[in-house]
Amino acid sequence: MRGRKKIISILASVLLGATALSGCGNSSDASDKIIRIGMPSPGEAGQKVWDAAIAKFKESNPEWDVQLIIQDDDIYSTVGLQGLLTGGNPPDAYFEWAGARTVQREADGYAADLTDLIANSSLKDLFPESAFNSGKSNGKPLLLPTGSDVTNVIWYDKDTYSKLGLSVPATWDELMASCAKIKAAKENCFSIGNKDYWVAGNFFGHVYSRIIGEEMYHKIMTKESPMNSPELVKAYEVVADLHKNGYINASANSIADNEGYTLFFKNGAAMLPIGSWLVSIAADEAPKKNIDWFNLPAFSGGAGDQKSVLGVTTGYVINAKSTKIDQTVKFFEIFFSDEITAEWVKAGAAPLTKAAASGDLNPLQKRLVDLMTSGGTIVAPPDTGYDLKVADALNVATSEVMGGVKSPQQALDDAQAKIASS
Amino acid sequence: MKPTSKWTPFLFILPAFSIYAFTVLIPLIGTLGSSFTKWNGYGSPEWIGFRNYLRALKDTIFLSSFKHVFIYVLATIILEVAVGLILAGILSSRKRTDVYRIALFVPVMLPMVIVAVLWRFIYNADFGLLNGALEGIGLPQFAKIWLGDPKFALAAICFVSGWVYAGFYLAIFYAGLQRLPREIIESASLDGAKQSAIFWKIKVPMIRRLWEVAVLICITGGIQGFDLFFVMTNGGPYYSTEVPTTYMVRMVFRDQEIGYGSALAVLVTTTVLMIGFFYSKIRKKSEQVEY
Amino acid sequence: MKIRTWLFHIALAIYSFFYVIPLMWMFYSSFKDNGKIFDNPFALPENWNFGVFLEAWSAGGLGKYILNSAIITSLATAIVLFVSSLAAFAFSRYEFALKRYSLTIFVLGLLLPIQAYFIAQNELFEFFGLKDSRFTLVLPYAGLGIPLATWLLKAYLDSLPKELFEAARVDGSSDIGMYRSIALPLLKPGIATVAIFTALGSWNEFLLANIYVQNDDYKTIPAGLLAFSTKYVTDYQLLFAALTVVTLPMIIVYIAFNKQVVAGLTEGSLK
Repeated sequence: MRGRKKIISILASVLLGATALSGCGNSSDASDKIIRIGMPSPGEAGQKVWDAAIAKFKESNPEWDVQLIIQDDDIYSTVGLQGLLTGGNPPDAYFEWAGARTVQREADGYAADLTDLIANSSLKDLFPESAFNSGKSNGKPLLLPTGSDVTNVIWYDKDTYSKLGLSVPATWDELMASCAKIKAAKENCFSIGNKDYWVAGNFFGHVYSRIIGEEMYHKIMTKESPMNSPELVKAYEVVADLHKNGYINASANSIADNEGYTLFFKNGAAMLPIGSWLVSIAADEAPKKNIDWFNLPAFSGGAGDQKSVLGVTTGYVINAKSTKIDQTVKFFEIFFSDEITAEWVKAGAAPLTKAAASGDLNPLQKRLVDLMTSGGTIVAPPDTGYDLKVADALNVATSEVMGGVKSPQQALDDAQAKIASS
Repeated sequence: MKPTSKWTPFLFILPAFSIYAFTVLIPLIGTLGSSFTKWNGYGSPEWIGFRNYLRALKDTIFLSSFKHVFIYVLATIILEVAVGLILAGILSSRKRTDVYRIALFVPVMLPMVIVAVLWRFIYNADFGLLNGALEGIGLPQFAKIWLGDPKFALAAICFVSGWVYAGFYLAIFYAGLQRLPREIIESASLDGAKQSAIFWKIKVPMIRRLWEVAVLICITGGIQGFDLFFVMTNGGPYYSTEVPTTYMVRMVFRDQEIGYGSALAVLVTTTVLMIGFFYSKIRKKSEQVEY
Repeated sequence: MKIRTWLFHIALAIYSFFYVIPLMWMFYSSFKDNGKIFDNPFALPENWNFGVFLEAWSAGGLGKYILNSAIITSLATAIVLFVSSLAAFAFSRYEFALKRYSLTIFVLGLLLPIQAYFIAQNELFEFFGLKDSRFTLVLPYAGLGIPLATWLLKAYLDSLPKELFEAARVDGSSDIGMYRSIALPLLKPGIATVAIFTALGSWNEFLLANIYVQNDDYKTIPAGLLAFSTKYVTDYQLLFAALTVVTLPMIIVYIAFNKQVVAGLTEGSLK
């Protein structure tokens, strides 16, 4: 009898302990005074600005706290955010990319209509009117924008260019001529780190939209037209030619994006197609390298806007299901205030608030911001503007043609079969 | 022995069983159940019967992932178990070999992510150690794009796995060999038999049960392989290093196809269980034949 | 004879040296700045700047990853030891209804690949809101360790003479008393083995660690290092320094305790 009682008490404590432990650390209570914001990694410098904003918020709202839920970039944009929104402790606001993603959030009920919230707060004065446009759905603003990122331009080594007597190309054919000269001088033309499929995916996604036109690109990415449409197959010839001429580093499909940057910094290639975030990385890792960028040159006979820009606006969506919307807006009023904007500029970012326009941006960065507002059509990158499965199929096909393992027709037929079967 | 009450044994087992049931048994049934559905994880699942299985049997990437993992298992049986066995034989024939065993065992302790990141750098075609060394000793023609060439990527990963685990099997076999009764071995060498003959014809058969278990561990562990593959290549280049686990993880956690991923899981599990089953049947049979 | 011994040792020394070169290289590359790592990969560093390790520690927040791993590993190991020894005791010493079936279910866990259940386990944990906390991984790791632990401890207990327990019963000892005062002390070597297996497995586990915990504050070492390696995109010196900071203590502990570690692992396999 004694033994049995002891066993039962031990078991009870173990079970209680196990449940308590697993419940621990999950302080889920909708009535607590914590604002939760979900986001991918803000980087070291960005983290400091967030800390400053939170500190300032707590000064005027001492009972409240702000908790940042930070996830890996890749995971956040696929299952991470989904898990957060449907999980036990959904965030009150979260990072998003404007376009199809934000519209889907609204459809699922996770994006609050910001029209009144903006109008009744200082947010309406902190931003120029146009800032909210890219995040609008049916005229309703859904996104508080923090950046308009150019997703892909062609960075080049100015010293290499001047050594070989090259000038910034105005057309793709001119660029190919430059590449021939670079190759003759025994150097790699492009450094691409495509292990995760998106670097070449973005670069060539832009190329395709230029050749077949933004409308056709959009139709294919939304499955209205099949992926192996003859127009796209023809556009892929550009990629096949790059492979045939050996203008891309042979290791492209096996090295990751950062290894691609390293190769470029190490003078292993004359050009690097990547986005605006290279500015801060280059400032840290290769301050002495003389680099600049140019937008994708024009394609003669291309159906799209030859001045288009591959880019996406990012910012924060307020969760329509949050119970603390008013406090969250209060936090963002501080987050977008002049004082914090100045901090962001110092950290190398390019905010979209009015205060930032007069800020002290890195010249490379400033030109990039201007590019976004230059009037060219904004084309959305495959993986942030569209369904991931479709983007994946397109990017994998790109990598196969870039690596010379499949012909454009073959690669796109396989891609179409993949989308159709799932 | 009789317990004080007939409930006692069950109470003793209950805590372990509860945790085991919650973390393994219930999910096991759950996986089987969701394999018959189409589900993205947050709506409601849609019953589709065997469609996932039919899709899996036609899925060329999944089928080739099986091929890859079997090549991996075969390679590791050689690079890990066989090499470990031979090293154990060599090291046990001399004294003062502790330092070598310690050195060769070190990689076993490391988290796979460290091994993978390190070897990614070594294999890097543009500035990595391997190609740097090959060019340095005048053999640039052997410098390949190790992780980018479908011909070499899988082999490159198998080699790393061998580097990590040979030391583990070395340790196990060494301990096994040390426990063998000295008399048989001594009388054999007094009879004039060579060391290598003694090793293969006497010692190895005597630790038969040990290396049978070792091979089984190598097989089941290999089929579950994930860490190394995920960090080094994540299935690339062109799916040439895709293994069932990396494919499953991508299906579920990126493509949000819980149902399909579950069907794949069921197929892989069935394979592993069948291998285990046949393996023990063969062992039983050969034991009967011998004695 | 002597020459042969010398040759033997030289050959093995060379083999072992090349075997550990990757690790030694990683260690000394932490002292070189990035340019030198690429241009002269094999050269030894010029100045031995130990500050880089501190930088890696703070920049990467390695402290929190190590803390999380330590918490989870010790909790999981403690739980496994406790519940498995109880279960092993029952399986070894008692006869009871359904014993064979329940034992088989436990042993099934030895062969069952993680693929068989991690998908549904993930859904289950999401449903109960157990993911993304500091303690999330404790139960899954315990579940992973229970089959082997139970099997090993049962094997150890089976080898104990039954007279020991019969005598204690005659003396009026209760079941739990026998477990506590007889089985546990004699199980010490088995417990050491199980502890090492479970701890090593939990410390290095990667798949679940990456899937279940997205919050950077709660990540364990494998997940944290992966995040670190993608965050510090081109700073290889910092990356290698971080890897060294994590690896070196493990290697030192292993070398210091290598007899026990290897003995533990091999004892387990031999059984």
